[in-house]
Amino acid sequence: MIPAGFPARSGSVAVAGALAAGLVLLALVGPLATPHDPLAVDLTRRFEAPGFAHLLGTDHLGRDILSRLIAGARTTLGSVLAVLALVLGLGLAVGGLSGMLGGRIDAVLMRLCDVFLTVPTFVLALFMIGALGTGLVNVVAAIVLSHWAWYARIVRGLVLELKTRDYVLAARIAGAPPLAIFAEHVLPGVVPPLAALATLDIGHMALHVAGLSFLGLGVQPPTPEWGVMINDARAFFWTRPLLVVWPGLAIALAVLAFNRLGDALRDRLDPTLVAGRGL
Amino acid sequence: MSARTLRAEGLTVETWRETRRAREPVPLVRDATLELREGEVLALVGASGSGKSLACAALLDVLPPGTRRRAGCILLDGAETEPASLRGRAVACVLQAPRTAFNPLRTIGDHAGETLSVTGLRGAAGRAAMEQALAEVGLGDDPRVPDLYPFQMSGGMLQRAMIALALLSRAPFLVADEPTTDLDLVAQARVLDLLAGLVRERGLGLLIVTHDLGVVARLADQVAVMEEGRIVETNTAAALFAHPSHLATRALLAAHRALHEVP
Repeated sequence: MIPAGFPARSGSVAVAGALAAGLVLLALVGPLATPHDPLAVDLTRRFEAPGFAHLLGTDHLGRDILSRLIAGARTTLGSVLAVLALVLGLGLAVGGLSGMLGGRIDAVLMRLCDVFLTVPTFVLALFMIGALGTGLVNVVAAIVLSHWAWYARIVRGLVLELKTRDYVLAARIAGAPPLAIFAEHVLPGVVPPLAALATLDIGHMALHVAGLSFLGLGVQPPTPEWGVMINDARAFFWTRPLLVVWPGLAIALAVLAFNRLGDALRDRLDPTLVAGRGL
Repeated sequence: MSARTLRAEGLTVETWRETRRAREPVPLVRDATLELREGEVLALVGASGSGKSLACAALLDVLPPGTRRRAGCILLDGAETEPASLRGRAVACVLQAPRTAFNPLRTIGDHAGETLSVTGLRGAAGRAAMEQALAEVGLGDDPRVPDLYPFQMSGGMLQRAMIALALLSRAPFLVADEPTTDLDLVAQARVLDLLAGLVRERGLGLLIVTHDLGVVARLADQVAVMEEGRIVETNTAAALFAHPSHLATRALLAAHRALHEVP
């Protein structure tokens, strides 16, 4: 497919990039930049409307919503980052071993992946939390365990394809050890598509973290986290809908921004699309 | 010291058909014996699909998935050797398509570093060895060559760079699988001259796989003819051209003469 309006598309990428960068910055310096203490309860100022004192208003305990959103960025994005790092590590290790070694080891590892792939991710995550208990660490573990198999499968597929390249054969004949061949010739081919996939998945994983927290299974109140905030606001949805809108908007914007970035990265790195772009 | 030899004895390669009952083996190379001697060129000729490349792959133990070596052994100077231990030390290789034989993300210098790490040469000594090898294949004039990426070089240059890498390993034997097939005529002539010179000066033992009898006439001392996985005739090049004994050899010669209009 040839994208019709390329400038417009790159414009949306710029917006998405700026948004994502802003969110990451917030997550990094967030706790230092909050206008108020995100945990400070002030029952005299409950449900305050957006104004100068509290830019986005206050919640049912009189806590500043903007401060909680900013502090929540670190919890949500931080746990997503942890999930991604673990999923990528596990996926690269298992998929790489499987693809490079082949044979019986490949068969055993891939059947293990199949077991994880057959269970719907959310059900598996719920089961894991049921077994391990609630909490942010367990949520991260549950999401990792329900997602790594996808990455392992993709890495294995890429490795198998790259292994047939002539230059890998040439390196083998030159006597290069398997680990060096993997690092020099296979890994550089695996990383770009994996990076694109991971960026696309950031939004998806953020939804998982927020979703599990919304169900009361992840981060526990009063820790600020976007899913927890929506859950807290649920009770007041009919009278104070804005309380749900703010964290909902934050989640939606984060998911959209990272999705758009992932799309752009994939377009950029997919050699089959390069021709259409006249690069 | 007597001349070094590399001998593949009784190589048998097979693939298999899955039937409902069992695996049914399908032979691809049958009982092929090849002997390479230092300073000599052995040409392996035959029609496409006759098993030439597979025989080489079996010699180096880099058979493609779905095939396996059923029988045979590799002898280096008369002693049986594990083929994997030969790679990059006793045997180097030049592949058919230079364009795909280099990692597009790595420079020529990177590739040289990989070959050198097997031999244990590093740093300044490695750099000097690389420059010497590049000079030997005629790529020494341009100091930028080590920093070039494969896509910045022509096919002929790449093929010569591949030969330089082979030299870098200091392996006494070289397997060249159709090294000129993907090149234009001028580049072909240069690569063949280069190989002939290396055999003469360095005493390289060269196994050259080809279906071009012109290459054979130009380079080879010994010729082995393959048909349907079997080596059907082995002779000196001169004798083979004068008195081809096997039907397959005659067919190859006839085809060559018809193509090049030699009466």
